[in-house]
Amino acid sequence: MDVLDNLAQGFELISTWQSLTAALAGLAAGIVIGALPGLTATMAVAVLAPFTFFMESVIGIPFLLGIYKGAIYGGSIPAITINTPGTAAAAATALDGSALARQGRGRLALETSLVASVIADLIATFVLIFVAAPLAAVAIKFGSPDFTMLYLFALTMIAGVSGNSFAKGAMSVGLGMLMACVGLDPVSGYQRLTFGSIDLLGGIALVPLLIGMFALSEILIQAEKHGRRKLAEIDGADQGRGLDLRTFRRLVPTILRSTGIGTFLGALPGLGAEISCWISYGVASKRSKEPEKFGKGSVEGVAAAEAGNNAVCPAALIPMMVFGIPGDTITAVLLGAFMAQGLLPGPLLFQQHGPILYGFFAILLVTNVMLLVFGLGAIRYLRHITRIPPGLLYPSVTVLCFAGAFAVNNATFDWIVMVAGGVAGYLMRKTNVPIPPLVIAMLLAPGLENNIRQSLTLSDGSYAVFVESPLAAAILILTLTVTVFFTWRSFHLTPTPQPPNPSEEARDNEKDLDTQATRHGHRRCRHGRRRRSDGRVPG
Amino acid sequence: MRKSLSDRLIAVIALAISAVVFLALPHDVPGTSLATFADMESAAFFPMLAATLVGVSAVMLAVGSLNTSSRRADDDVDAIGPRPVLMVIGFCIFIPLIHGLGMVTASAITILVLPLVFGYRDYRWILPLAVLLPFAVYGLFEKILKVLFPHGAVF
Repeated sequence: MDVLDNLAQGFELISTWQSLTAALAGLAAGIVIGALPGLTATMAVAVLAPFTFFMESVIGIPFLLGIYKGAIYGGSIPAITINTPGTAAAAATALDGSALARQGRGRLALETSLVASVIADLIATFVLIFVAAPLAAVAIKFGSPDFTMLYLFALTMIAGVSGNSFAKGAMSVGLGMLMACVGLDPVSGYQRLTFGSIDLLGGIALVPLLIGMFALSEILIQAEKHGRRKLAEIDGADQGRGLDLRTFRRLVPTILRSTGIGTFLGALPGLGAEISCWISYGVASKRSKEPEKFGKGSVEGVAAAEAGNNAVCPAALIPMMVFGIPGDTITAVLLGAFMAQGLLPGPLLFQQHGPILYGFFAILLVTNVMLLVFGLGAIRYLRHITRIPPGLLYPSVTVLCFAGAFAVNNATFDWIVMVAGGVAGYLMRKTNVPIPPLVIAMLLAPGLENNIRQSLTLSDGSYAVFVESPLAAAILILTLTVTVFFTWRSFHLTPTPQPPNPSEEARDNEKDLDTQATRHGHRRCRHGRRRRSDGRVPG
Repeated sequence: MRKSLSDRLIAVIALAISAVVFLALPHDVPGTSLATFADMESAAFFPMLAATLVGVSAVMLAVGSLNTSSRRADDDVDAIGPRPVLMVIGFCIFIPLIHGLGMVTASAITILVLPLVFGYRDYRWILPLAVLLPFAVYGLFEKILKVLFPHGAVF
């Protein structure tokens, strides 16, 4: 009953026109950005996060949560209408969504996508509400050795599942940890890796770096393509009959199953919506009575993919809020925004800022209703968003990036950090070195270092402290096991050469997703479709 | 460039970064040596741990790129195109331009120039955007959020 009481207080807290307007504005902005191919959800949250630093947390964070939700849903619109997923998380939606649109059943695909998204998000939000607080109550009893091992496990997982090479993932983690060390040592006060620069004494500013790595690097990638974007709009993409009750009833088991998968995967560090959508899609095709329709216009396929990716959004907030471990890159940016608002994620967050947190949970529920109403009303107009030319879009985003990066600390040096981050991000994407491990390691490193030091201080320098606690020992064994597995996989997984995709349009569409797909090392081998020449497939 | 060669290049760069950290730390934290690695409470321990991780993963990557099976399925890595290089040069010019001319003027110039890199030349749309967006950003940040952008010679 405590949870419901707290939730009621949360609703009271956010029942102001400012909070609700911010959430609605964020949702609308997120849908628009998500619907634009090339603009990712992470990019949207990173670029717009600095706006919220000047707002109260009950206004700023709802805005960002709205963007997050809107962008993940918005990605399905171009996936259905122009066969180009707006975000990597909507890649699986494109398979059946665009096929349905070609058959003149685009409206059914768009409405299925919306309804599945809303239901999945709603259920996952309830899981977040009922799991997060009890988990935090347990986590508060964790000691520093337990947290040390938990951070190590999270970093190992992120290094292992991001991209197709464990070595590159681990390297990215190491670089992130190094970047977090720049500045003054919190205990001794010694300068570390500042190379005599006064600007680096305070460390590397996180938000400008994130804007550079996620937004500027994407702009550089798009510039390389010369703004080339195939907008082969499918005739009648929003035509035909919508989702009726009979079809909806048939989809309920698929939506619920995919929601379960998305919620579980979202709560694990490193496995974001991009992976969840494919696993949900794969399981749905296996369990379907009409598996032959998958890839050729299956409504179940659209529902599975969309429920799978949208369930991740609230679920990824569980490790972020309870342990301070972001589940994916978007929650990593959100973590930065929480910290900027003075809300330090971790088990104490529920004790110190309980009412505000329940306010955020309430806003997650409210935005679901908003998404449904807004989506149903605007569904046939949303596809026009994809017509905005990249030549106007990316210069505008560039200006917003510079404004946002400066706004964080009012420091010119942050522009240099952002541009350097952009160049580094671009080179990392080109060479398939995953960016998420770097960002997440940079966020986790201070906590990891602090917990290592605390553990050793408590144990008078004895390393046995890391195996004396049963929980720490169990997590250590788990970490070592996954490390051995990922290392083995790196050396023994031989890629299979495949013939190139004949469709230039499909190749272009896939290229948009390549960076994300390789980051997560995901394969659609089971379906035997669209493998790349290195044996990996986008998505 | 072949993927295996690119991987080896990444490994060399990562090893160099790792070496720089090990060389720089004794200047930053007095009394630091390789033996400090055993002292987890030292200020140098964590950067050393991170540098070691970078170094070890670089060696793993280099060894992996020499692996016969990965060489057999060696892909090409896309070369860096001229447009991203031009864009980065543009970004580097943009920063002093903001100080020289002011945020609004520099943003307007950027919006006028950047579409060309994307092959977009419809100035019926570019011109209004170049006027409206910088003023919108100025209004939002300076007037509402009270963030003071650098004001240069113009605006």
